[in-house]
Amino acid sequence: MKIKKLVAASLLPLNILLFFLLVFSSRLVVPSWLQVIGRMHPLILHFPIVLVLLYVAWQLFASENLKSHQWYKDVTDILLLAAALSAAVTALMGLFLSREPGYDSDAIAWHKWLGASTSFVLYAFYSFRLKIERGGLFSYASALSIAVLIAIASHLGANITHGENFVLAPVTPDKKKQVAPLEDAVVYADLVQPILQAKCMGCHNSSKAKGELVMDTKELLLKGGKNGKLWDSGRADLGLMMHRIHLPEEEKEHMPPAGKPQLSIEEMSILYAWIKGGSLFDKRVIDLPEKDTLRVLATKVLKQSADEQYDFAAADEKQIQKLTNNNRIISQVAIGSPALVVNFYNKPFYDSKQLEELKPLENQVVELNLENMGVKDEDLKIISRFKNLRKLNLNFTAVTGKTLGELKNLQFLKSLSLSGTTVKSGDLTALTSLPKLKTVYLWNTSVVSKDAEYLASKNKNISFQTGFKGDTVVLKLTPPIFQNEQPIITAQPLPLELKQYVNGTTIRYTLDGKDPDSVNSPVYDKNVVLKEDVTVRAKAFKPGWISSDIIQEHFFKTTYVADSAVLVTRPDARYKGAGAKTLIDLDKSDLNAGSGKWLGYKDSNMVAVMMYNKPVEAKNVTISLLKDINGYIFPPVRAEIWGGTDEKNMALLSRIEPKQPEKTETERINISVSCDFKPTTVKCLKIVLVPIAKLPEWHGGKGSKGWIFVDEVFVN
Amino acid sequence: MEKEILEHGLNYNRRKFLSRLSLGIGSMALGSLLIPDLFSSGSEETIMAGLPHFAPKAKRIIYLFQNGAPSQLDLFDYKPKLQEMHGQDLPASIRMGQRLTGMTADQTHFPLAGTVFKFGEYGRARAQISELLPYTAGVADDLCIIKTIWTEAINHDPALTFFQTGAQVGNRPSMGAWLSYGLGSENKNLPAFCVLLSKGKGNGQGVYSKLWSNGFLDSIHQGVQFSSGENPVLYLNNPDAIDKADRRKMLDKIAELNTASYQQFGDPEINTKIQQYEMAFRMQTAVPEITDMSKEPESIIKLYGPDCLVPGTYAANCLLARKLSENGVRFVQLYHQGWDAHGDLPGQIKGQCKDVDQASAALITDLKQRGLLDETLVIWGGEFGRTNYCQGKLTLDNYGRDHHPRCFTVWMAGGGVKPGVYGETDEFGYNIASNPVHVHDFHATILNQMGLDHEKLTFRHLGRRYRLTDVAGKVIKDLIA
Repeated sequence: MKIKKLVAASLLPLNILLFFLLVFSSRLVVPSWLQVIGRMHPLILHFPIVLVLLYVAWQLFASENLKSHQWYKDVTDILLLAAALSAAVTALMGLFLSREPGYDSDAIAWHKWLGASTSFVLYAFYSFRLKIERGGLFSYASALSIAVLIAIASHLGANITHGENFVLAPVTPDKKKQVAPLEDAVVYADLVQPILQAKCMGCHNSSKAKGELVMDTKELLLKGGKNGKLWDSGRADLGLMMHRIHLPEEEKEHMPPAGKPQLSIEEMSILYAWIKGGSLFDKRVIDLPEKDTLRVLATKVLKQSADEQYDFAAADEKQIQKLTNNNRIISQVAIGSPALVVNFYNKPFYDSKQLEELKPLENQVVELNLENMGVKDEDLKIISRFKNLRKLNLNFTAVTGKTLGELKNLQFLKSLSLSGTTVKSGDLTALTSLPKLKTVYLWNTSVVSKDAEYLASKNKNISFQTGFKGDTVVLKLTPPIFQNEQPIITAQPLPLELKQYVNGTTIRYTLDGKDPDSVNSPVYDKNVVLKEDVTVRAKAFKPGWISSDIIQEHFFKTTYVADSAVLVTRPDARYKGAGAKTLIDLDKSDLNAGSGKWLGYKDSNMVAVMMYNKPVEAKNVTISLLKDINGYIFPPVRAEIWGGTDEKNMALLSRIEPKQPEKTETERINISVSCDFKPTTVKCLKIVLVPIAKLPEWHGGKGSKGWIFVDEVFVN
Repeated sequence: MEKEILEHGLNYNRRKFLSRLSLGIGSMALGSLLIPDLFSSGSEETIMAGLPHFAPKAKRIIYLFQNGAPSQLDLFDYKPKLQEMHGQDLPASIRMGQRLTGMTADQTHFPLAGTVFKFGEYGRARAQISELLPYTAGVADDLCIIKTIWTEAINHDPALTFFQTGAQVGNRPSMGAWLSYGLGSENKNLPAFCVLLSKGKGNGQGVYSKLWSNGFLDSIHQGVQFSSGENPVLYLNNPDAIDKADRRKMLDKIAELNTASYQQFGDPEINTKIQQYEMAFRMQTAVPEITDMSKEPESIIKLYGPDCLVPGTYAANCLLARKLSENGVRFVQLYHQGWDAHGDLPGQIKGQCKDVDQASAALITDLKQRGLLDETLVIWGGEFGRTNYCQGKLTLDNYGRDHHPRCFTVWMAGGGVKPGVYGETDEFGYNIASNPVHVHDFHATILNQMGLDHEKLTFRHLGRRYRLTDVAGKVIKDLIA
């Protein structure tokens, strides 16, 4: 209790001392031993904060029942007393600390007065506690207000130590100044100042001013700190600032101090070059010589080429969303940009009302893409209201050009696309007065390059592009394409299907193996039918084009399709197609050996038997084969056709030895082996094909076995 | 199935809820320690908005992928030294023991093979372009030719996958999927990412759907492969006796059912499905108009060459690519197969060049005359280059070339890139002499042109964030106009 009284008694003199020092603080000279005490301000200051808060909580949240106990009152007293004492001590220490260099400013003044006031108020609180603590609204309000007071005072103090927004900075979105475009950039404001701000001004600002150096304004920067001016371009090391920046990091004088974020090499070079160049404040980057170090550094740091800067406000986001639909897409140029791009799609959905509806966005739209939409001449009036338009695409619209004068309001228009419209060169003169216009696209219009030259002579800044005209270009046509699903003629005549994709071409063809020509060969149309085994050759012609290469295809005739078939010898496991059915399914393969529609034999002869339910009178068997010399696929060396009424009674009908290739051929082609014999009535046919046993001398695989590949057998 | 339903029910009982709650809060706190910006709402949310991070130079990309790897030494990177030393071995000081493919690893000699083709100088930048590409030479002033692209993979599949997804293993989203994710679709009636395939006569390498995969991104970002036949999109027409209104009714009913099942199971793929049905419905109107080539003027046929009307050819795909791009498709990916000339290169490359030269150049001219080249980035190139030494038998006029990842040529046009020639290779065309451009750098630069910061375009998956450029890549500012 004695201690309590002693402490209570000390409060008054402490506060008087505090008040006295406060009033005369400007004259205060703090001896060095007191400086040590002053510097312990941050150590002690948390005590009054916590004690005050505890006291307030104790007051606010205690139940009435609890408050009636004596020990509760004792604790209350002790808490308040301790708070008042620590507040007074802290304020005194703070006062000593504030006299150290680098701490005078408005922020300090507020903190100083509020901190001292906290001490005074707490003293008053203690003195009149019996009256205040009687409970009720007044008591609560007083307790709360003291909490608020200390909160504000300590917050200001924290700002001085840690900088503003210290606590929330990590989660506050970066509001860094936008990097300026190169064209507008000022050397000091956009290049140098951001570095100082990031790496120096944490300490050298008006509220902290370490070394009496404040970098906030140009004047203060020029003034320098207690060690004098920051630079001297006459000296080899360019003076104080560069000297200390270039000191090794371990040195005490090195700036920024060890432990703080250091300057990057690039930043150092910028500061160096700026000071060396005379530390100019208003110089613009583009006014520097092209090869100037600072200019080169600037181009690295600043944006390469300026994103266009817009001076209008962004439109309401909800409005943008409301106006966006599947055929009218409105999007921001980029995150944070007020400018909008509008694209229209799906011609059937377009009408001018859709443009009208964009009225709320008429300031923000900078690009409008109406390609292929049914935009009419009168719609240009609506378009002219989008006064910030930079790019307008009217390709393949119904615009005739008569109303192009309406666009004269578009003072920012840079690019106008009118390709594929019916504009006339005369109407385009209306555009030559547009100040920012750079390019007009006029491909596929009646405007020719001579008109474009004339127009360009009226305004040299505009380029009128007429694009590619094909009239003088002579190219070779692509050959027609056979489109029959299968080149197989059954009992029905087969309509010949030829296609040429280029409009206005004539296809001529021959069936006699000769080359088609543009005079004598018949012209193909859809009524041409094929009845017999034939090779069709075709070629496409068109005036103004070189006629195409010739294409040819062999069409196989098959009169009697076998009802079933059996393979007596097995094909190679890799090329077994769909078994015996492969031979009679009327499904010819392409030239790919691995298509699954070929039967491949190498180690044995192919022996296949085909059966008919009813006897047929055959006189020819044609076998369709693959030839790929590089791929070891040769024609068979021998083909035998046997026939009879059943499997056991068959006679040799034909035996031929197809011609063998004599040298390497790179082509992979479809060949056929045709075996004629005297008409014979058969129910059963046997086909024997013998693959080449040894590849010839000239072949890369000489001596090894050759292949045969068969896809169909046709019987006539 | 019953087990799953039971388990699903258990997910929502009280005990589970409470135990999850405690675990949830704990792991959230832990998570925020491990993932520093877990709670920072601002930045990440805005990145998700499907908008460019800054004003884009290009809005769309058409990527003319030359699958199989064209020989830069016969097309763009002229090395007289190789002709001088034709048949002599590649000096070890140049190869420096760098790795070989399995196909030439057993070769005892690496005889240098000079190109048999003539080169000319074209455009203001005096770009060297082979006689095989006369049309490309004609648009030289629009091309940004990068001679010093390099990649890490030496075989087709990993190299292709690396170029398309930024990783050699195939589980990442393709570049087109990233763009669809980052920028969204321009035209709601078409997919944002379309794929067109064609095949040349040269030695070919396969392309697989993993190259246009959405990876771990939502499957609406997957590339849509168009068929090479007369109907690029199959089954687009309503079947007989079903009209548009019936179709609409049917889709509405299906959507109801799907929504109900989404509410029950919460699988986001169900939502994707609903969206895809809706887009397919709109595609029924939009696609026929785009794929109808009959209204193209004759000058267009002459510009691209008459092949452009034959479905499935490279020229037809270029023309279709322009039409898709013009209609707001963000990323049109073409693949032309057949460049893998390990043998008979002079013969094969002629055919390949004939396939692609006119149409590639036509695409640039065509976009330009419509005022679209500024906003469309066209890219032409393969997955790696080919060696300066011969694979197989070298004669005076015939040779083959193996895979060469250390330097090769890719060109870009439009989309705010700077026309000219970038980078130099050494006199053997084997190593890069100056200004290398790694695949990651290339990706970073492309994303930059599209208004995307490659470091910010991220997706969180399996506990970490992924980027197209992985953890590398820098924007090559010298490529930008």
